[in-house]
Amino acid sequence: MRKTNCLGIILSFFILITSSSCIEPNIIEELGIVTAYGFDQNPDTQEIDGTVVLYQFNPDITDASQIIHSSGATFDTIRANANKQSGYQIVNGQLQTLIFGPTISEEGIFPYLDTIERNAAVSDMLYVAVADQPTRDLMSASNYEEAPNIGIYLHRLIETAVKSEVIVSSTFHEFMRSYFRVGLDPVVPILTVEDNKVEVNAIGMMQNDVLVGTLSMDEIFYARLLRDRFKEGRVELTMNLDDFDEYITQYVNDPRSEDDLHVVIDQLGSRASINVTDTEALNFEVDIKLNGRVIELSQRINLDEPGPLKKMESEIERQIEENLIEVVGRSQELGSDIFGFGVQYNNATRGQSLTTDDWHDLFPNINVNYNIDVEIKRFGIVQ
Amino acid sequence: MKRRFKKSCYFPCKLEQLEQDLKNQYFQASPDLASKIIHHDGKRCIVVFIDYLVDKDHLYDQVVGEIQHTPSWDHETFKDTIPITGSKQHTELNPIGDELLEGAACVYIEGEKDCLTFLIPRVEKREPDRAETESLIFGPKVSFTESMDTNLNLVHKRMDTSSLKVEKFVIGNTVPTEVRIVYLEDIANGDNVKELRDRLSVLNVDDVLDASTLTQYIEDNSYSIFPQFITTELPDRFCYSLKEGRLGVLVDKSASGVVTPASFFSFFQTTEDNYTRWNMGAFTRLLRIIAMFISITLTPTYVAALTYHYEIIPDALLVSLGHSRTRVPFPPLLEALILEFLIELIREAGARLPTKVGQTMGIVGGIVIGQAVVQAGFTSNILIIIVALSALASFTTPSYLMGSAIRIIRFPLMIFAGLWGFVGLVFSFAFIAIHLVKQRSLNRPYFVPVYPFQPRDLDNSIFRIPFLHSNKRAYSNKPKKIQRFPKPKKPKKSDIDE
Repeated sequence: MRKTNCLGIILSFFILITSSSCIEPNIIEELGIVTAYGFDQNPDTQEIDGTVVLYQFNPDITDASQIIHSSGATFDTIRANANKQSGYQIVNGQLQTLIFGPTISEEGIFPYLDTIERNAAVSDMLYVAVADQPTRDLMSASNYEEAPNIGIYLHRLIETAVKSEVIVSSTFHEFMRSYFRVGLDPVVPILTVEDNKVEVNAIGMMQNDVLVGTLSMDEIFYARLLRDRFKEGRVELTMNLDDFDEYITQYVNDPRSEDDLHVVIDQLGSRASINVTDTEALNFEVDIKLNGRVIELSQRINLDEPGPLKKMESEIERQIEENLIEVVGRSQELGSDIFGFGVQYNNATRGQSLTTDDWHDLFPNINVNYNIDVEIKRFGIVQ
Repeated sequence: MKRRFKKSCYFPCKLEQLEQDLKNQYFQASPDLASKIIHHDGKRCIVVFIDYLVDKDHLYDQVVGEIQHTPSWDHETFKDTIPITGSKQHTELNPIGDELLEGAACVYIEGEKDCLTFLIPRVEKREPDRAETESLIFGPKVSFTESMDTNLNLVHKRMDTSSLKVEKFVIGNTVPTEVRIVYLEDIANGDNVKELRDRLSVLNVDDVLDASTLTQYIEDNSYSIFPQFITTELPDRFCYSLKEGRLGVLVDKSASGVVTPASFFSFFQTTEDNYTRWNMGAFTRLLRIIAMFISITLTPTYVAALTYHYEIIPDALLVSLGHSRTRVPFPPLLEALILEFLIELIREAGARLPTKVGQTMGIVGGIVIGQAVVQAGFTSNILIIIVALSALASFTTPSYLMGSAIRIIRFPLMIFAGLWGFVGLVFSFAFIAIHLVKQRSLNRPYFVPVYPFQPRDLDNSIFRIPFLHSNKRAYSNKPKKIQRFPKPKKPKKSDIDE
């Protein structure tokens, strides 16, 4: 009995040790760890040009960056071709950002995301973004702050914008979820280069995986208002000063220099709900509750009184509604439902199997009614 | 070796004859057998003893002195006048030799039919000193000594109760050694006592050497790397365990006591946890358990992550890890093994050398070699931090045996992490977990209170709560009396400013 036990232990150790060579080691310094890929459609061939950003480990150089350009028809071929130009084994396990160039994003980016979905080593938390110029140029921007390489910088750039609620988050996971969900289209941040430095300048509205239009930084607020919720948001609104004429306290006889009143609201919390009121007539009702703090007013208005405060709130409501109608109207024209009206419609019409194409046909015809309730909670003590 | 004598009755004989026979036949002409012949009224009397085994003060004052002052010489009078309790009469030579070895003086008046022995052993013992291996900052610092008398005295002084029971065993064929089981009769579980008694009484070995050797003979699983009985040199820890319902074992000539049954987590406790306030005690206990995990996992995780799982390395760390690894010519496993081996070398060299040299050794080994190894590109400097941290963490374990077990167990874990990555690590952990879960200490579960899960004992093992609320003894020891004291009533609240 004891003898067989002993033999078993020796045998299992033998198997353990010999079979350990079956798994492929990835020793860190032998790897070219990719942090970002950029994809461009090659105008001459059918192939895709890839820009691959790698970590380059060298203790003598503080900058851990290497950029390789390669091409191929598929994502994995681009990686494999990049490997021909490098002594390191190129791996995707630390991938953080995927950027698609202008042509490719107008033709559909889904085919290149497929491989990531299948590869368990790649994180779902990477960001998908679109560039307004060829990614080859974008990724050679040399100012990437203190980040080890441009891939990390791009990730930090988008992450900071998402965390400060300036743009709508578009991780790979979220992108895929909205891509496959009927009645919801993905959004992606749009990157551009300014003074040799990459920045986020808009978000792109997608129809399925095709970029159809953009929303400027100011308009993103309204997309986010419906699609997401704010916890610590911020918005600037411009009002007509004439509406507040009676409430203005003049600084020492200073004549009115401008006609606009700029209001900045921060600590903004929001909650929006989209309801279908009539499925036949495609009538929607949107209830939005907003609250926040006035942090900046370009003119001296005494908000201590209930009159100006109420006036201010209703003016904000009106402004937001106007802007919402504008933004939603534009997305209807482009046929990109980034707000999720279709999700609610699909919920309300259970039983009919709504497809994404169906909804893209219906979406331009919907009518939306807005109920906005703004509450200014604090406005600061100024005297 | 005992010699057999042909004569059934040896006495009476000549004094010189007795001395010669003892010397030649029993002590192989030992030069240490001393004797003194006293004359009185024409009678002659001899006192025989082994020079270094008897207490000289007693010998001259109370044996020789009394004999010289006694007017009438016969054995009965001697027995009365010599104020030594352990006196015996012998008619044969054989037992006299044994008595002499135990430190007796043999007194014989020429012509008598028997011989007297008086037990006056000289015992070299040191005074109870500060504990060396289990040092404390706060709390009593006295430690056990090599003398059973002193140790029993230390224990009895701390537990002045009639329920303290001491049972005596003699173990060892070549060198019989006295072993005592100590427990509180009204608290300790009867089955535990019976089990320990059985194990000691069936033990048939030549020699027990020391308390720590005795535990290895009577442990539940002698193949395991983990100690199953606590060996402590602190009487207060020993007594605290007895009060919790455990059993203690004291071995003569050994400066440590054994406590059983022990759970895995009791090796991470000190009495200091009880002496400090509960929040500090709870913190340090948790700290030690976390330190144990760090010590076991940190280096294997490094090896696994750098060899197979670059994906999990946070990008903030990736650059510095990558940079420091580029100059290292070895795979991570070999790198880690070299460094761990180096640390073990420094530790062992420091332990073997005299204290003063040992300190220098630590500095040379730690700073000079550590620095040079990184400069030469043998290891990455991040690994130095990791290895030093895990070595440091392993020394927080109060029990030296458990600390060593934790340090050694890192090596197989590292190797499996290097061969199989996290899969190997997970399997190794599973193996250790299974091993710990099925382990017993004196037939009681070893991994209690985690398995079998005993939530009521958590306050006694993994952390600590105020004593007023932990008025129960550990359930896992199955003590006869579970309650230490009745739960106190809440005092009426009154405001401070009333």
